[in-house]
Amino acid sequence: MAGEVECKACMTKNKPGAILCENCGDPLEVQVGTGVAMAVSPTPVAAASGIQGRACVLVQGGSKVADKEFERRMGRLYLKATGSAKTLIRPAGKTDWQEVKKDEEVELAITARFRFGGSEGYVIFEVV
Amino acid sequence: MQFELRLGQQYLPITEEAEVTFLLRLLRDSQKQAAEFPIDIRQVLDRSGSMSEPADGGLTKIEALKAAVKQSLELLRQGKDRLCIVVFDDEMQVILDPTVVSDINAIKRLIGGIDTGNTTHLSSPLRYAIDVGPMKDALPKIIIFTDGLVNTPSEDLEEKACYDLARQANKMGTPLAIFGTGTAYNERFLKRMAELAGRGSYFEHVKQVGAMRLRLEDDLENLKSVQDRDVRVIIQAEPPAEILEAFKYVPQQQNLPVSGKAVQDEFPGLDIRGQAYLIKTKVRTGNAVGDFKVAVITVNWQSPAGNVSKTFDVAVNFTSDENLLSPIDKTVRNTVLNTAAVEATLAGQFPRAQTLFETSGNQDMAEKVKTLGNGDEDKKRTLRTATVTDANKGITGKKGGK
Ligand SMILES: [Zn+2]
Repeated sequence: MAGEVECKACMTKNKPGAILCENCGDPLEVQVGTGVAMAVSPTPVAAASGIQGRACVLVQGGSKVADKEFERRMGRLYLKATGSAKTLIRPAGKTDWQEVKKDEEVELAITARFRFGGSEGYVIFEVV
Repeated sequence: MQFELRLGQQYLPITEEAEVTFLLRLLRDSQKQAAEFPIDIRQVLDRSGSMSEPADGGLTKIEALKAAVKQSLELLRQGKDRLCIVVFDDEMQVILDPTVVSDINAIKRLIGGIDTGNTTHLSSPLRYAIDVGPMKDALPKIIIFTDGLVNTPSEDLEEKACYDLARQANKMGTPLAIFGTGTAYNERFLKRMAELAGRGSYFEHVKQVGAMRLRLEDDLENLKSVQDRDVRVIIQAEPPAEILEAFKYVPQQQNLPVSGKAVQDEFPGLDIRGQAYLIKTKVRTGNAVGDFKVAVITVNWQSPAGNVSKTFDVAVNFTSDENLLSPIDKTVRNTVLNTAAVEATLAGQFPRAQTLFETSGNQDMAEKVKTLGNGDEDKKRTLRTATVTDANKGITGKKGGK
């Protein structure tokens, strides 16, 4: 089956996503990288006062910061693609990520998810 | 409060069944100050006969403890924090009734007068400390220090009485910080008391009584750094998912019970260390494609501005696009390995613990297992406390003081 991980110690085939062998408990040899840190309801984006300002989202365990600008006008939320990291958004209900060109601005639904790409990885968060 | 959710894998291959592990971190809001709640410390200190035995630095255990307590008092804020001290052997003696501190030197003189006595009877002084009752808006904490077996009138009666009191402390929202030194005390009993009291209660073995100064100071600094209080976290698995295991890490690694499809945790205040949860789930996906909701997280807390509640989803994505598949997140993997290593240490499986710590790159802990695991009972107790407290330091915030 796709993505199964075989344990080098006891040959048990483990489910995709497994980290320790479910049979013998040994660490599985898996490809390790920096994954996704989701800053859920990050301040100041989802500050109690309303979604506005600059979102500083920690990438890679806090060593890098992706800056994006958010502005709330007439009850609508806008994202401006500033900073070096590539900006991708995924409108609510859609499955594809769309790139926002540098310095371009998009209106966001409050439930939109967006993803900041870059060579250091990316961050996904949802505005709540 | 800020949240960070880290998935073991964001994109997985399409499959019948998958394992999804995630790490939830609760952190203080870096742009806000501490809320400056008053602190309500109640100390329950052992002065039984064995406390006159020598400790470190040429002092007896009681002298070292008295010095540590006196020094830590400097961190209390005059006119704001409350302190009460009761000592015990086979009888209890109140050294300081609950008092908002004003004259620290006067309190130090009272502590100076503490002398050693007879056998160990913990339940009466603990009952006194609980019955003191709450102080308005304060963060309470009962600190227990002992070096002996609770044996008066009998071990059975004392244990039962103390367990009942620990449950009462839980109901009243008063956490216990329990410290034991030497090897005469019953480690299982003190650990169980901390479990029953819950809400951030913990047990620690103290190798050198003089180190109590740092421990007490850490506790005070942590309490002073609290921003949000009465935090309640509920992690609920979505129907095709099932929670296999759940752990929390502050103040110590703890295996959380899974009831039905949910895990629930409560603690009195989010301090500088933050909080972290590791959740391992099994998901019957039935070859689903695309976004897949695994769990829903709800966090309630009381901020200085009022009650706050946040709910958010944990979702992964199943894809046939091999280029999208994510590697296993390093932080999640290391946390899984360290957590299993701590469990192995507690079970006395030292070679396995050492291998797991080495695989996660935690050389410091691997070394501790190697040296302390082969040592005497005092060293083994030191090792158990060190692993549950420090093995996962990386995923919690800065530790106060240390
Ligand atoms: Zn195996």
